[in-house]
Amino acid sequence: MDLQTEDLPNGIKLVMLAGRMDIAGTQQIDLRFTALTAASKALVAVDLAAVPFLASIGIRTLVSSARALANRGGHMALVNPQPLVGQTLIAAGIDSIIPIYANLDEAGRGLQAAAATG
Amino acid sequence: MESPTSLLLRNDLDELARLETWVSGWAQQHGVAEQTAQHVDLCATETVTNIMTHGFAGAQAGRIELRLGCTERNVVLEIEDDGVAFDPTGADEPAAPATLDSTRIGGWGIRIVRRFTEEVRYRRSDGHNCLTLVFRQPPRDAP
Repeated sequence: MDLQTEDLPNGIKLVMLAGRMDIAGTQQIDLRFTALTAASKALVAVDLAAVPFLASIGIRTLVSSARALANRGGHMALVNPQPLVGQTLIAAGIDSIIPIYANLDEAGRGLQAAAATG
Repeated sequence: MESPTSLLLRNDLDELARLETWVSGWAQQHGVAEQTAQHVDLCATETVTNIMTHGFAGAQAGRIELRLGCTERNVVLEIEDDGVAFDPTGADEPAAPATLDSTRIGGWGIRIVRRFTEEVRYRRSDGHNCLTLVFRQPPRDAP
């Protein structure tokens, strides 16, 4: 898997993941992903557009990091999942604990609203 | 080269890489819809990961055999292993997570497999777990 980041002008850290998020793929990005989402009060948008497959092991990384982020006053949003990945997230019930947005603009507004309400 | 209808895996998580190649190759040969093939790949990955992680109680040995078959209506995946007895059809589905803080980490595989399959059957036979996953194929376009 590949992981790229970009600090957006609106203060949001964009994390772009690419590749199959199975055991092998998740192991390749897990440490970097966890470190990126450990900053205090960070607002993190995770772009899943280039992730064609998400297994439980990948969900574990997303949820663990989102929880760590929340414990430090930050927030995570998932952005633009492919149909199978979106269905997988919903099947696992993740959409009820990490918001999923169709595009980065919506995610940005959602993250800033979440930050404003604490 | 033709993709075989069965695949034998050792109890080693590195073996999972062979699963995707096998499923996609078999699906292409049999004209299975891409969406159905993705569901088979996902559920096979979840099930085999669970068997390798929990089914052999730390033992190095262990074998998992997968077989694929299809009809016009369904794709059928059979997964047989010689690990400890485990009937996932009788397992409680973890409750849907309510909050990020209270969410139990893990247990998503069962929810995912139940969501993407039409039917799941289990039997224990000769010291083996035999799991059958049935996937519905989307209707083919009329000629």
